[in-house]
Amino acid sequence: MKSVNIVIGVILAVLLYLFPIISPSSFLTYLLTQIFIFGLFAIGYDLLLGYTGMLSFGQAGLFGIGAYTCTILVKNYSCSLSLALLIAIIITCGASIVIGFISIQTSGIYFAMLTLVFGQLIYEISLKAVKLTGGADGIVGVPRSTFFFIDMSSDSTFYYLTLSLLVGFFLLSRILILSPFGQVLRAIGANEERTRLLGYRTKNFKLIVFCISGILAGLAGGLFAPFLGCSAPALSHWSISGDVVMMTLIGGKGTLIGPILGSAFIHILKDVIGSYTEYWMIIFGLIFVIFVLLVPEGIVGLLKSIVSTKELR
Amino acid sequence: MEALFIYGLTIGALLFLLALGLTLIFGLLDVINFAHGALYMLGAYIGYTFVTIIGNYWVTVLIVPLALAVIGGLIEIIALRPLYKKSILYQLLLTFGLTLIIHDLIKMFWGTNQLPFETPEIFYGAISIFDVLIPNYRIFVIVFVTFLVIAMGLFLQKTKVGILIRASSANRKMAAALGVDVKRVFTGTFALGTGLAGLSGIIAAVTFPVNPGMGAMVLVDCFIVVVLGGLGSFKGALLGALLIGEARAFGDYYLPEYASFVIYVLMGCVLLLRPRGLFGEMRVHK
Repeated sequence: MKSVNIVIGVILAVLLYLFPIISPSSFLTYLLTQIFIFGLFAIGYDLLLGYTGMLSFGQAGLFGIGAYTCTILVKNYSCSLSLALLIAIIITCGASIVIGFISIQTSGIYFAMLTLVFGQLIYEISLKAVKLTGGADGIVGVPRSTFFFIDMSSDSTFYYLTLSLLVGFFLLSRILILSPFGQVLRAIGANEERTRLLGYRTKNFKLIVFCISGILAGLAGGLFAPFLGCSAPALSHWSISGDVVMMTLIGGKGTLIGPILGSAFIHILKDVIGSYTEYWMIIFGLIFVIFVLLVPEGIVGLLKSIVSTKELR
Repeated sequence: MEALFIYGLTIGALLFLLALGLTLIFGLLDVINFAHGALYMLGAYIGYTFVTIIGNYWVTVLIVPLALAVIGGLIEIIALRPLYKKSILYQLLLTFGLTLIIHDLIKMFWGTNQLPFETPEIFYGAISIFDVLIPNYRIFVIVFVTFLVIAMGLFLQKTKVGILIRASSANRKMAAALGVDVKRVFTGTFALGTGLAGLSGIIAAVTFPVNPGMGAMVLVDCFIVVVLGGLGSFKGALLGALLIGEARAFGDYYLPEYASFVIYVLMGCVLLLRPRGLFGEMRVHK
């Protein structure tokens, strides 16, 4: 990473940490928290799609598992948020192993189809297991509880929690990608067959990265439910998978920072368009299709090419 | 029992019609069309509007697939064609993006409530076969799909256009070198596939609920069908569709809560034993 980027990153992080103090706008704090939660989700997805080249359309299922686990623990068992999140992560990881193990037997198109099928299976469970999930009505009145004895009920403390988790997991993912393990993931993304022939058990690597991605999806879900104050089957609907796919691709896949920008882009735009029409998905879909066709490297790729052409001059 | 079996056949026939479109497109373009479910749904909704305006079900059954074929052709020319040279990832992402658009377009024009699709009068009543009462509509679906599949088979085997499609799927470059206009074959096949999706939509609309959730539900079933049968194999799709149709019919009756899970477990087992599906072959990239 260039030193300029590090400086920009540090300044941005400091500004974000100071934000609730400088601008006490509760609306912006709320919006930013949402961006951070989905940023976490999208970072995990980027490890999967951007680096390893595994296209999953079922991440919403794992997001939903995290959300429901956290909701049930905090609401029915008065767990603290920290413990609930930990258990949510463990359960999502378990689900990722099962789904991953079956789906990874295949690759490419088959993998994309199977993950969609499994995502829809979890959606159906959340609708049908009425005793556990409250069925179509979902579970409302989820308290935010405490995170390591810190009260999370105010929007600003929740903001700091999600921001810290986002920064932490961003740095961890960065380290992971630069590590030898990450190099193998990139190699798989570039050419799985060749990596396998070099002696790496690519299936193991793919299963691990699927789990990491699942853990981040579960963590994001576990944060999102208490943040909203409710859990509903809509959280594991395929359109949430669509959201995370769009964030990653529009932001720029394989960059880690891109998906966070994508999350910001989509949430801000959703807010702007949402005040005119509730059918914002049509416009997003169109923007997404245009990105796929014309700017497959996403916003980050676009910025990079602008910078590099300037340097050439 | 027999009634359930026939019901299963009806679902299976509809699923096969959908899987046929998916398989045709996959055979030629090497792409799974994630928008297939959304196009099926669009078929049902457009069909609903036509039936309420014209009042004639048969005319609608003729018009809807044509309309969907035109839409499909346009999608292929505008959106998919520029992506053939890129990784298959982008083509999948594109069809997924189209799903989002179609889904919300439908919500915008028709709302989110379930539409009251009235059963056409011709389908009132039932026939008694071997002392079992079978609704006319189910008989119609089974007979209609059987004829259609035979017609499609003859079309692909005997006609010139069918031979061009098969030649292009077998070896795209060789076909192009021999003077086949592969671009037009691609557009045509994609249009044919989406037309079949629309046809399934308008036929399904008669008994299955017409709501914004129908597309995703049927897409998942359809994926299970082709994954079970083996992607790209017509025989596999037929077997898969019948299996899933029967599993849905009997499952819904005996284990209403868990019917879907039976299917998922069935699929999981087949995949662990035969990752390529029952009739799937290792595909060599063209």
